Amino acid sequence: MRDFQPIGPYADVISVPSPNDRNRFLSRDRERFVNLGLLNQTIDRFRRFGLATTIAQYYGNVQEGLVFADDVVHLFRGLERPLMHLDNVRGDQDVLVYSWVPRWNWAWNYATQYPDAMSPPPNRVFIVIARPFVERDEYGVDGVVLHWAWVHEDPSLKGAPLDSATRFRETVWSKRRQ
Amino acid sequence: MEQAQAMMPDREKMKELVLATFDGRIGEFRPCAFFDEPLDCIRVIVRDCSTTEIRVGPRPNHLIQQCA
Repeated sequence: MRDFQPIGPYADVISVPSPNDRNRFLSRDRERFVNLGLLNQTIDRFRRFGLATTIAQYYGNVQEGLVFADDVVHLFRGLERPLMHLDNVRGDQDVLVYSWVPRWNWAWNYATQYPDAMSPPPNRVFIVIARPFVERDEYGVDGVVLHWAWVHEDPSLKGAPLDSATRFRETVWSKRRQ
Repeated sequence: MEQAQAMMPDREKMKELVLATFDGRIGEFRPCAFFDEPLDCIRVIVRDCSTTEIRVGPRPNHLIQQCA
């Protein structure tokens, strides 16, 4: 975890494995990563509503979680649900979903004013949802982070969300640590 | 021993980062509802805790979030 690195409209920029990298093994080679931006308006909303746990999970799992993932990571494309994006009624089709099991789960403890670090909830995976750009923008960013959450794990596919075969339009790739 | 320490979560660093995001002070959480425009959905949050998103019912865009 690290300080935000703001640039342009983004409060922070993170690196995630490229959708176009078909190597089946995870790597920390940054050449095989793309950049996703966290918009200022996204983090402002969490601040406004006091969502400290959401922010803690960003720092703990989203920010560098996919760089240091040490087990299997899956990438899916297409949410398969109605989603209006700009003028596109099928705005769900391009959305990317990364899933894996991070090492820790984080929550803000309001009583102690300290973050709690816990083992991941059982039978869950962590997902990061992103929308890729058609091309890299002027800030070197390839897409935006839209959301992150824990979801139930598919009991027959380690590291993947439940019902991934029907929940997403396609599997882009699955990678594991070599 | 060093490897074990490297595996431990850095709670101090996390506290520092979260507080910095809130400009030094995290106010009381209040239940909220907002339109998540990028994902075209309405979110209703009644508690600030680690949650699991679960799809419910026949409509794929209805989700609930349970703590833990």
